[in-house]
Amino acid sequence: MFRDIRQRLAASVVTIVLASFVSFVVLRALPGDPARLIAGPLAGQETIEATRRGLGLDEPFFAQYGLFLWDFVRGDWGYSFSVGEQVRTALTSRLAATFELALYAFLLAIVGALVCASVASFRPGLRRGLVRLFALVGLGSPPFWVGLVLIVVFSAQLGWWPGPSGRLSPQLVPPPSVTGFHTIDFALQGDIIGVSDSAAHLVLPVLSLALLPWAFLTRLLTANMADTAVQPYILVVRSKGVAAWPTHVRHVLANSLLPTVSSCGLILATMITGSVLVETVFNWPGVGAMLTEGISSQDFALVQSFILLSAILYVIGNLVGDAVNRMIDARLRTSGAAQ
Amino acid sequence: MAVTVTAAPTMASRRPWPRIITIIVLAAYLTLAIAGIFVQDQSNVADVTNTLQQPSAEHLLGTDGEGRDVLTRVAVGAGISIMLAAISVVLGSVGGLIVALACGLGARWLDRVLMAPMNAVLAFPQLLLTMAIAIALGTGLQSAVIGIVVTIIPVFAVTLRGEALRSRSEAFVEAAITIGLPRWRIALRHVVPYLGTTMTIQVAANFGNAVITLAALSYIGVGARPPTAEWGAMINDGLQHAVSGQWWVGVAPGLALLGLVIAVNILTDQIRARRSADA
Repeated sequence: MFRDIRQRLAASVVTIVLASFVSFVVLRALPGDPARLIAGPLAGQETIEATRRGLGLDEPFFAQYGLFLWDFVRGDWGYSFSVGEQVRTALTSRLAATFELALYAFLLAIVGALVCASVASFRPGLRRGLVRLFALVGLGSPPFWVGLVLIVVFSAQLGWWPGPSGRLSPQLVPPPSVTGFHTIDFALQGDIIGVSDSAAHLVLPVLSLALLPWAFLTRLLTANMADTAVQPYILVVRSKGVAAWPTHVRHVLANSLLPTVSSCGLILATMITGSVLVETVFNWPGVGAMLTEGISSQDFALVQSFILLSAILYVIGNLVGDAVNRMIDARLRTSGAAQ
Repeated sequence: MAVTVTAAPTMASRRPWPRIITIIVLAAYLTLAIAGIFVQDQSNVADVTNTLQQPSAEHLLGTDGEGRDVLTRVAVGAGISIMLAAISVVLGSVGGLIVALACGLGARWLDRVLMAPMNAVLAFPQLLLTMAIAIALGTGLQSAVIGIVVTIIPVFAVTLRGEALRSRSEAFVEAAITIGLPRWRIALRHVVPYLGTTMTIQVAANFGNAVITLAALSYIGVGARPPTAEWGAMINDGLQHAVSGQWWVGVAPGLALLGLVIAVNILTDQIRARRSADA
């Protein structure tokens, strides 16, 4: 088993190196002067020359790539002129906002998918049709448009939750950062108003970010549950006198969870990318919104670091999902060792 | 076996309506897109006296912040989305097919050399890589299409490669090898038709994704340049009017997109169901 894990880790490292190469090639080896792009549109001639030397752009191609990797590992991700900060400080200081959004959306997607799939696969009929329609709509809607519709309905028309106004109402002071999650930090302070205000600001962004993975997992899980429900051992459980719904949850659902679990790590990682599309809609002060600004101001140092960072998160998410799957399913462990 | 087939007809043949409705909807979108070609000139005509008009008999979907007719722009956007998504998927599928044939039927070393970059691309979140490529190539629909094609090729390559490898042990391919046909001829005349259904399913599945990705790229500002009537760009434009109650500016293009993607996805499911019924 350990050899197997070591192999997976090695494969992940190779993937990350390849990813770093792609992000390097994509953003440096293309037409245009990288020194000018990295120094920014307002930089003078000397600055550009200095940047060129500083970046080692007079070095051979692979030396440049090595330098880029080394700088990234050391934590020197360059200077972002659009934010006016070191890229690393800029990204890490906004990561908590993105993680808070992504984590709640992730939880909603999983719980929602469990409920929807259980209901949909229980018995055919209207409910199954409704859940199927939900999955189709969820998979077909771009997250930023979902955000827009939610703002129109729940913020502009009904006024239930705040629209595009960031993480907090302007009159509130952000809590002292312990976890970086406003909801939890306010709760640690015992500040009820703060908790409810930050939670209200989370509702619509979380919904827009969660809809896609929610629909995806619902579809996956419903299909798996439909397959499991016709297995002979389910018939055995039923014939022993267990009622339909308990059988459905305890036996059908439990035995259909594996593909969902293995896709979870990946989904959590994809939501970091998804946040790029959702955060701008709600003026959410996370890394996604910052990336969009970086794109419009051609801030390549920022964009490049974000891309590499997301690729790493993506690989880690994949790895964790896989490891959890192996922990749950003994069959995967033995088949892995046999190879 | 024939008796069971007649006794238990497949879902698809028992209920023809979903398929007919899907085809009607897709035909409607094509009509809308063609109509869009004829009204293209009017899609960017600003009318400052007529901004943000509610949907009415004169403007069925209202007007946007510059007084442009939203329906006209949605129609033009339909043409842009359908055409560019189709181009991306066709280029991506042909590219992926070539790689898959070379990997599945060629030498072992060729397989290794070609699959390494494919797997590297797949290791990225798809949308992120598309964005990276489009950003690097500069704003414009052309870069968006290139970005989508590059990320679609490996998807096709990996799926079709598996099938191509399987085809090698099929009797008709072995027979073709035995009678000494050249490799390229086996690939084109025998293996490509074998890959047909898988390819159709992948094309349909990736078409919907391409439509969404294109809109997403334009939304974040690396796809269509304003004032192009692209759906994602229109949604971005509608965002500033969402809070103040002019919902139609942003909702209309998104609904159009959603309808198209749902129709295509249902069609994909139907093709899939049909294949598993055949098998």
